Amino acid sequence: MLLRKYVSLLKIAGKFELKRIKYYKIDYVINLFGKVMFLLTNLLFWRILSNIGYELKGWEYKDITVFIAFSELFYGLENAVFSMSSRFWRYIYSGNLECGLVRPVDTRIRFLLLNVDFVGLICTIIEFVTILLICHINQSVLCIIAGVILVLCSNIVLSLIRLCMSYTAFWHGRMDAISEFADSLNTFNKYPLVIMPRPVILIFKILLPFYFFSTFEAELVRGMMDTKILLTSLAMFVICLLFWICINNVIWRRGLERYEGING
Amino acid sequence: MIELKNVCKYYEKGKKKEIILKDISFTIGDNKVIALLGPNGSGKSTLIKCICGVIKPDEGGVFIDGKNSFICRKKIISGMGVVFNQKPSFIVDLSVNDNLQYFKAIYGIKKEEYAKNFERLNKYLDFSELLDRPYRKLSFGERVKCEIASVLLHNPKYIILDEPTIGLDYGVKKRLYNLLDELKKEGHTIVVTTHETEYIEGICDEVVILSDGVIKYYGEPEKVLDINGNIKKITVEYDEVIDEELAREIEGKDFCKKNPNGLELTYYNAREKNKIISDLTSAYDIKKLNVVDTSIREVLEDVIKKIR
Repeated sequence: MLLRKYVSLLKIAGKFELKRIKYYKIDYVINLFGKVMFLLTNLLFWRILSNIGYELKGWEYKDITVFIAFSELFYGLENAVFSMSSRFWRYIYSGNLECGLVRPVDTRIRFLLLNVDFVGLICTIIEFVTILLICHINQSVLCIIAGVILVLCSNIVLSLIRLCMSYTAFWHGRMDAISEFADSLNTFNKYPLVIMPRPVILIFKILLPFYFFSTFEAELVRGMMDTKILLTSLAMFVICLLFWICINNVIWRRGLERYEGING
Repeated sequence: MIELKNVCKYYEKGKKKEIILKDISFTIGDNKVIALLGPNGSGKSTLIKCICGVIKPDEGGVFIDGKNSFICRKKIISGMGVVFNQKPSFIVDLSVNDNLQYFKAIYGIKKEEYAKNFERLNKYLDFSELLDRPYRKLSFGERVKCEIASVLLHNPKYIILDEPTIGLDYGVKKRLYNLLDELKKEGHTIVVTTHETEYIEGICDEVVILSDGVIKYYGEPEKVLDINGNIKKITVEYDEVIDEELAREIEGKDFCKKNPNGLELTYYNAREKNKIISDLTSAYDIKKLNVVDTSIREVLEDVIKKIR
């Protein structure tokens, strides 16, 4: 029942996006141009590194390309669906939260759904498929689908972390720095995290989901790890996901208890 | 039924605690309309937010049909329609119709029910011509009409309106209260905060007057007359002044107001009626003297003015 409601809200948000495209055409064209430029410069960067003979702990250019595909997928989903979670503090600070709380359907999910960038989402999917086609990998579709699901889950975990940061507005009011800080976490998606020392990798698997942004998926699709490491890593990721779901709910509840209202 | 049991709310101001609501208890029965009155900063909006579960009371609680409104907010909120006047809940860059369709999906309103409710609300609030306009291009009053319509489309059992008449013109204001009256007759429970006492007498079953977070009066609007000494209004028209000293004394009192035609309008407590009439007849050669009951509205305004 609730899922059906969310789906219908998503459909409505899609219709809204189409209307917005009609209203703000130029903005969308420039946005699209920017995305293509970013992707091309990224591929060019890694191509140049590969040409000059730079190798990243056994990663070939093809592996890097798969990494870029997942990295772009992560970025794309992050920007199109989850980016607003680090702006949620504004919603609390401005008092608009009150209007959200008096309507059915979780106000956080409504906030995210209403801000989904469908054009960005479609571009991301096209981009992801195109990069995989360019690099001619012969891996099973199942592995790729599993990789996509993992990327989506890591997006959710990062979104939960960002929401937790946003909730600090319940205690401290204006939290402008949170948006910047939360966005900076995306930096861990710019290069394969295999270059990090082992203890850091372990933290990035259990506590923070950074390893699963795209490094893990690229390793999975390219068959770069054995079954034991695969399973233990997945178990760590599940722990990480559950941990952040719990933390998120606890802070949200505490925040609501603390909420004092705006405008009287 | 909405029950408020010993509701207290404090806000932290540095190391001190500022009392916003102090030991508020009353019950709003089903099918009742209750008005929350009081000067600015008296705690009306905070109380409204406690009722709909947005704010957690520091002590006590609000119970809606036996459920704690803060703890069970998710369960009870679909049966509520809440307007916070100063906060837009619409998506500003989209049209009114798009927004209403969005709320229709949120509340899961069926097509037929939506059409029926829309027609009824439009009859009173007259907003159909705004449907295609972007919300950001509406005037404040038009926005208020749309906000009110959006929370009533799902026909909620409990209607909670925080200063719903701000920005509305006289005609719409009157029609809104007619709508509330109709909803009341249909069995809805309505809580409304307002500074306007004009419509209270006809529609509200009870009023709560708040001041500094404390209830100053709770009861039927008519009974406010009893506890305030049955205030009456006296109108005097005179030919000439007989006793200048006494006349100066009467006119100097704050309840005496001279209008340009030389008539004296005096608000006074009925218990002192005889003394005042005696003074007036001694001071003036009276041509016409009229004693009338003041309206509930005037008394409520007087009470609020005194506690301000």
